[in-house]
Amino acid sequence: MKIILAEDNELLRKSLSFFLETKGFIVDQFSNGKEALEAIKKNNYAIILTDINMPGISGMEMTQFVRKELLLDTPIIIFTSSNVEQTELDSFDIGANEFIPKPVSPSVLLIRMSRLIKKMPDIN
Amino acid sequence: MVIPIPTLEKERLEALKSYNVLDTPPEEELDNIIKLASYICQAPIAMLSLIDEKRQWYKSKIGLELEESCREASFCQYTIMSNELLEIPDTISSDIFRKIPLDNSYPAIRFYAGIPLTTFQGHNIGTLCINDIKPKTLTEEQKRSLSILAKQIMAILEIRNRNYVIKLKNQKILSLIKTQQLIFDGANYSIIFTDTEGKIKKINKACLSLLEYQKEEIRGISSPILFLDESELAKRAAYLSEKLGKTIDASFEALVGKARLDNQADANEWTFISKTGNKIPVWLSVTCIFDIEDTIVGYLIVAEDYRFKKEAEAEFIKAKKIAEQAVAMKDNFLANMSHEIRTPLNAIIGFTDLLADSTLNHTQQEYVGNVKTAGENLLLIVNDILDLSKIESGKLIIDIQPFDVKNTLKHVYNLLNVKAKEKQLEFNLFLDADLPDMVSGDKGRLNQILVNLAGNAIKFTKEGEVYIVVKKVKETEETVTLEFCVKDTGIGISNDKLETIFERFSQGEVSTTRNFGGTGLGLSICKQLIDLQNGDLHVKSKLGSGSKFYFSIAYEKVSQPTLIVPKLETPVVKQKLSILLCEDNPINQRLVLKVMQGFGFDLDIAHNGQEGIDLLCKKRYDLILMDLEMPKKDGYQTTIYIREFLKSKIPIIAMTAHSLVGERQNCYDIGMNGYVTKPFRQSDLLNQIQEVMSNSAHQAKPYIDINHIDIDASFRVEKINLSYLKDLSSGSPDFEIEMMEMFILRVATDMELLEKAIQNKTYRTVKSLAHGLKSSLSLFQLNKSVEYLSQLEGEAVQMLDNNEGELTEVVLIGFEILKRKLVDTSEYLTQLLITDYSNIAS
Repeated sequence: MKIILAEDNELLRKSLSFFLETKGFIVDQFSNGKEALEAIKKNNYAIILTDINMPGISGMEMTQFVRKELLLDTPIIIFTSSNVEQTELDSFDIGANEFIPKPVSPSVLLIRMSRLIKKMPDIN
Repeated sequence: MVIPIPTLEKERLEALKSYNVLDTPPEEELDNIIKLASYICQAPIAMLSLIDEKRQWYKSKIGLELEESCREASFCQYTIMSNELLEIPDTISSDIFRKIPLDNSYPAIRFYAGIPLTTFQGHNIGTLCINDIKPKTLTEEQKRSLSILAKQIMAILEIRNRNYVIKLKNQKILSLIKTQQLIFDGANYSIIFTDTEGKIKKINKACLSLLEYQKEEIRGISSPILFLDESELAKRAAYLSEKLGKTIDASFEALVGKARLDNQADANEWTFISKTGNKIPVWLSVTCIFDIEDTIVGYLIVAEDYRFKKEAEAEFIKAKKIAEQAVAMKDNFLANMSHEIRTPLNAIIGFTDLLADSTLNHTQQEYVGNVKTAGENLLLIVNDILDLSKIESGKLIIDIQPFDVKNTLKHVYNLLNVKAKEKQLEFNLFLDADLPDMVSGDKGRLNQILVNLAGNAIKFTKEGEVYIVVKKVKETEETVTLEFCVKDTGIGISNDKLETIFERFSQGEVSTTRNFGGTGLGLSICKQLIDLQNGDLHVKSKLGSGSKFYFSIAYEKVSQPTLIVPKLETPVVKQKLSILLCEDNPINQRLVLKVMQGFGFDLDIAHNGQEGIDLLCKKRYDLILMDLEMPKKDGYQTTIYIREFLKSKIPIIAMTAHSLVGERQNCYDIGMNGYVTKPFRQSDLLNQIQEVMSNSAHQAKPYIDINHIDIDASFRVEKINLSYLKDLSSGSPDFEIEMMEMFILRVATDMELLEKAIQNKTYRTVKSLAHGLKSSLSLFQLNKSVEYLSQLEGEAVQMLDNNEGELTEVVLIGFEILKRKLVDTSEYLTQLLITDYSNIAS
């Protein structure tokens, strides 16, 4: 199952990718939104994971683009930081499916992902 | 004997000369006519004679061996007197003959007939004459024949002359051409003549050899632009196109266009390309060549091989660079030496002072006194030398500050009075009543000058008096000019030495050094110091009577008297202070420690700037003594850090062995409050401390003690937690190692960048870096630190929104704490990698 992760912090990106790969996912990682969008245009991803803040395009803009321009209904999970932006996000619906605050708990992530993805590999 | 002279004889002689016939070899044509004359007249002797000033010279003759004869002894002298044929049928019965003196070489002539040879202008330059040894008469036809022959002779002479003149002219022309060719080929400039199209008409040897072509190879080469560098030609074409406003191709026109349009020589640098492809830089000049009607018929191109000059230029630039480097090195050397010399000197003087204050017996006191004097003298000499070097390399600045004139002068007086009293001299200071209280200028240098001049005066006076007189001589709106005069009744200076007295090392008298000591630099320094303040040092002296040195300096008036910093007369220990010393040199450390303890102050010592900052964060100090030259973080950087980053207003006094240009101002600019040079006097240091402390009393903010600050510094004690990492790693140690190593590296880099961003107030960067760091730290469960970073991020966002403001002190202190904490954390992780993970091969 191919998924895409957009996160600009190298440590976090590599950690999450590593973790998800051990769970059987194929992870395409990107550190900025523009490149991620390019990849989304070209490939078919089962789920999109993105940080809220990134150089280039923000997580929210990316979500809007995917929904409105690419007209995809791929599930999107946005990682948020415990910050002011959280409250703003709550207030309007941009088309993302889930918001998970950082630091992202691995087990929570997996559960949320499984709920969203139609087909799921065996977690165990 | 009257010699018949024709009228216009001078002109006649000139006419004769103009035929260029005298003393020339016989010519066939004329010989033939003479023969004909002889034959027609049936006479054995016939001549073509030419009469010059004194002689009768025969161009052509027959029946005669002579070349010439005396004019006086000739018939022809008479013949030329008229335009008619002169016939003497029998010389015996001739009056004329009788007049002629006998000439034995002359054959016995009985018959003479001569007809003048007349030029177009009517001058008779000579005759055609017939002689015979027997008397005879000529028939009319014969006479007519002679007449015709005479005309013929003239015609021949005319043509002959014309040819001769032409020949001369040709010779001259050939000679000129040859010379021209010699010049052309001999010149070592390259010379090319072209026609208007650019075809090479002439090219000289020098050019051929420069371009490595043979003459034959050039024939056929249409234009000199083939020897030029294409890109240069193109560049020139473009330049001309722009300048002249019309398109010019990279053709011959680009080479000559400007010369033609300006109608003057156009000289530029070009590169010739030789046959073998050598690139030769040349200085090439193009001129137009005109004909008589001012039409251009071609161009003259002269090119000089520029290589040598370019090499010379390069050499020169190199030499200049070396010279500049040498000067820079010398200045550096000077600055370094200044430090190197003063540092141990500082120790010597300082410890000697301390020694002098300790309990000593009489002999020891004496010895210490000697060492002290020697040390002080050495200091004076060193200062003199360094001053002079500084002045000469233009690095000495005049420090303009308000100061009290009268006090300064009194100080000088008091200082020197001791010596004057010892020598029982009368020593007086006369101050004008209307001297201003305060002026703006360099107090220290004025002091130096007066001490030097008055010191000299005292030194060189055995008995009598020394005066210092100061008066106001001029006043404008902004300045006041004071004249200083030092008079003595000393040994004086002889007239011939007066001129050189201000030069280095001259002391007027060779024995002076021996008898009076001194480096001989003092007057030179005084003069230059006075020069730097736009004054002029003068001297009047009489040998055996005394001397007078005087100069004037225009000082700026001081506008606000309240700018004066109150000066304390006697050092009095006021309170017990807690002082931090940042100084790397152990000897200096010990020295300051002793001195401070002597004052009753507490002193903590940091070996460098970073240590100083660490200590500052841990303990409360009243004052910092900051050495400027320290390794790692030097005095400047440390001060900037304390002022900008810690936002502390703690008083800082700079201590330096350097005395570089503008250094003092630099220190004040970055926030230091005081300044002492090493070696320092205890009293100087104490004064500075007093001043600085009293000033800061008004401004000092309560010092922030990080330990007691009311922020949630619980993150300081927060420990790293690997459980989250391990969750993600799913038990892969390689992954864990990779993540830990990445953490150590990234965090260090990010914190450095963040620190810089905070210092530079680039809040956007602060925000993004803080944000990024949060993710990294959260991976290792440093959640409190993450909270702090959120706080920092939030404030940065506020700065960006409001476009103004400053980060709060709480946040800044927090950053300091975080910085140290992360260093500790990284160290911990490094350790962990070694202990727990090293047995895992990766």
